[in-house]
Amino acid sequence: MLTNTAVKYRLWENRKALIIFYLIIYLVMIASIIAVSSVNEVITLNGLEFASMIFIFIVGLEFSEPFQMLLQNGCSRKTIFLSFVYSIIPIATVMALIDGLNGILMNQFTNYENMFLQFYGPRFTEAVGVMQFIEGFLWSLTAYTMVAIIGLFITALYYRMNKQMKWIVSIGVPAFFMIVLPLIDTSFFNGAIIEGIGKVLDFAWGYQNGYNPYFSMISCILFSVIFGSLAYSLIRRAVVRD
Amino acid sequence: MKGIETQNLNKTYGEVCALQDINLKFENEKIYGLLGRNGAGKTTLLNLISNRIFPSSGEVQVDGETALENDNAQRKIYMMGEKNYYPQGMKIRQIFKWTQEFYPSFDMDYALNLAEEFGLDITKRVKALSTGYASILKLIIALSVNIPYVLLDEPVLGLDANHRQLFYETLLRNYDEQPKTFVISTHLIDEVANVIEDIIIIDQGKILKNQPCEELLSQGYTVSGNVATIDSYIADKEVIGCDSLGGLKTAYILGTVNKGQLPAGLEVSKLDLQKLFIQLTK
Repeated sequence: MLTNTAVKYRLWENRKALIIFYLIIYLVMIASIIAVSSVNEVITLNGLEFASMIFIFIVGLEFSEPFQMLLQNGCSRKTIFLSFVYSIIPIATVMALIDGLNGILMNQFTNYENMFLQFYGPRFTEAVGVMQFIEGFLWSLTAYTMVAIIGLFITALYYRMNKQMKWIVSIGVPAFFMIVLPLIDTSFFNGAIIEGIGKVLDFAWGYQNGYNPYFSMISCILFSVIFGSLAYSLIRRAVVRD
Repeated sequence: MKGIETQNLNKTYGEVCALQDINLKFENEKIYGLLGRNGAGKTTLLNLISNRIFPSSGEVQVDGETALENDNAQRKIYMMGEKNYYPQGMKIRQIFKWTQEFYPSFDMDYALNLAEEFGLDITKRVKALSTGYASILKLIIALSVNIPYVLLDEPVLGLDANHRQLFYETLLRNYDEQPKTFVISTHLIDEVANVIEDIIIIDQGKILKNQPCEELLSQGYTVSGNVATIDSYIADKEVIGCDSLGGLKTAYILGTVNKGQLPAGLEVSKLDLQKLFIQLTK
């Protein structure tokens, strides 16, 4: 019962930001439609879902304030974590649905291509079909959920770390992936590591299997479970800061 | 088993031992005073009970079940901490509304009445509140939640004398109408002395005293009179402190008074809790 209240609180907490976000998106859409119809050239529009991903990532990053508010109101850390998961799924569902419908709407006026079609376009022969909409919706739902949970993991990690560790991770992780790993890869493995990572991502993204979005949906669910578990392991020992 | 019980509770921060082997019981429907010097471990104890931090060892039980990561146990506790954990951008009215969602026994009408009495503008956001009004907000919630255990850590922080008086009066009225356990951690010993039933004194992470206020104060007495008479009277007594003003002197003494041997001109009264506290925690 307390979990239900905590979920309700989290949904309430995010509703205003969600409304403002989609007001901006609709303004952008209207401006785009006007701009496209006022010129004779062919303008390609795409990627409004990327804004949704950033938005839901930021929702995931919101940790400290809801954590303290829920702890103040007698919620255990398990309830706090579950309330996040249970609230992010409906938010991601609503966003995936709105974005799918927005894609269809934009397609009526422009040659808009949503993110799903950019990734998995070769799979479809029809312009907009029911199956395409459903698959696009499911893909967005799993991707948004994963992005939000990664956001929660990052913010929980930073919440738990001391100042020194924050510096080490903030500099160390990007430095490892951008400098150390490529250096080791080219010096000792002749590019095999990066190539291997690329192949794994291609597989996870369904590109090795005829642009199959279900591979990426499963990958997103798997990553959500992994990062969710890591986030919970950090949250379950988190304490308030005085 | 009703009440909050701590069993062999320990909390260390690195090398520092904040609490050591704490065995306590907060019984139902009593007002406790949790006293101690700065850094004695009062806030740590309250934070452990309210699941805000984790013990190094030992356990806290609420009505027989563990308080640690237990929604059911924590719903019986409201902790008013020094720091404000409500979202800074939230309006007071919204905080009341959400408190009612989390604590269904929260009395909204009572809270709104108290807000009016204390002059708290419920249309304001948390970030717009002064230190005193932030304390008032938390106090109003603490008095309105109507749950068995209410922990108040420095409840009158930033409150002016009028508001402090109003708080103590409201607290007693609230306790009288709907008895519950209050644990009040404060440095304002004189002010709280008339409110609390039992006293727990913590010093350097250990329990120094845990007994009824009356019993503790009956361990000594206060005598007042002219300087010479007092000086002569206290010569063979265990004196814990003295105050002088002009030709008058007041001495705080441990032990029982023998009124038959009391020199003429001396007045006897109850021991001063603050003086006793200072002596015990020196």
